[in-house]
Amino acid sequence: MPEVSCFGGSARAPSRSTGLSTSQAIRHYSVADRILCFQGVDEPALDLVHNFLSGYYFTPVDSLGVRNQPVHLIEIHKSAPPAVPSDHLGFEIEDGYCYPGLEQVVLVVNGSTIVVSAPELNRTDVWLSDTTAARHPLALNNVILYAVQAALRRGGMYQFHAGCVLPPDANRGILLVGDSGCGKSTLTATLILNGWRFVSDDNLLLRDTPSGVVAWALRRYFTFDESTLDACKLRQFPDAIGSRVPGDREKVRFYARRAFPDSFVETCVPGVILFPAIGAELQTRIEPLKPGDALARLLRQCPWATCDTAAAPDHVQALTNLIKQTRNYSVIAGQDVFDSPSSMASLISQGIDE
Amino acid sequence: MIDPAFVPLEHIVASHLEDGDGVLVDLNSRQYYQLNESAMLIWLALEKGFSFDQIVSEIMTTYKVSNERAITSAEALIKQLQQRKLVRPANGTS
Repeated sequence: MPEVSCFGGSARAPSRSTGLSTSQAIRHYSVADRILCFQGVDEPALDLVHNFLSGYYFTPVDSLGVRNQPVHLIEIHKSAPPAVPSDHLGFEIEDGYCYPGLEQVVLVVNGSTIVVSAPELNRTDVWLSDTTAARHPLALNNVILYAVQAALRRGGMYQFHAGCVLPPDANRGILLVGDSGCGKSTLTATLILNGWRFVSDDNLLLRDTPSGVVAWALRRYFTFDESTLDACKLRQFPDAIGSRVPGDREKVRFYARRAFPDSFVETCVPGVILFPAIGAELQTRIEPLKPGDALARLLRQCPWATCDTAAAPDHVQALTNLIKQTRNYSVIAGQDVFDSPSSMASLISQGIDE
Repeated sequence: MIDPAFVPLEHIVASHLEDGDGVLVDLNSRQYYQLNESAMLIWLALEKGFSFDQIVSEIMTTYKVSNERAITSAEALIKQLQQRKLVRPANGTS
């Protein structure tokens, strides 16, 4: 079996033209201006990956024409997985366990095994379990999600649950950061309806570049509760409303680019971070945050920044650099913006200008 | 007086912010700690391998405080850092 054992670094991933066995399938995808490579025992294994990635801004790249060296390889196996190293102490994650080592991370998710190798190898291996439960589409998606997130991290791209919008005529983006349910998606929709542009409602990639930390759109759709669709008057865009979110039947996919094709921005440099929360007061308050407080809040939203030991220093540095380039505010939404949602745009504009 | 000085442990990632504050991330416990400006000054001195006396001198120079107060501040913070397993004695293991 051909090996891609020295992936990345000065080595180049072998493609079909360099003698890769026909028993192996290989595909390349571009994301945030970088290339990830996926290798599997057969095409169906990679079709599984492709279907998952189609919901995200991963663009298939002709493997024969890949010019930039892939930053990471994900290989899908069907053989028996390796045992978890006995010296790795695990902790629970959603649908599984994480066993972090100094360089290698092992994840057991829905019965399948993911091994994120030492950084210099630039590879993540996935062993899909054959059990019925592990073969459930949701379980498979979950495994691929964890593997892709790890590959992105090791490639210097950090998934970040945040909204990202740009005021009219502004060059720099505003990140909306907070726990699920804090109002990120609703706020994003409200601002778009008031003429703001958008990158995402809740799913970004951050890249630390020489010219600053850059945010890229990652997921192709927003997710809204039915009540938010009504409250934000989004049902006037029926072509943008998609299927229910598997595993979260309360939520519906909303393809914002179909509703607002001219408002989408694929990438931007953030200049402001807002931490929204819903308050009980009459008036909305926008208050500046000290950089240390803002960084602590970012770390709380990015648990992998402290879990993937080998990637953690660069991940934490990227978040630190993000804080250095942004002004940071908490936004406590009062009754005023519920009475008049459109007032939020001007409140934010005024609040961050002062 | 604490002597010799302490050094940061390898599993700690420190973020230095422009206002002087900082955040320490403990990759073993996956916890993080916010440090104010004066605490970060001491952490930076530990990163540079300063002796305890050098740290005290740095505090006195920066904040124009007495030697006694600088010693008290440095001892208190280093004790906290040691209790949280963020530093170890320069000539020890933990």
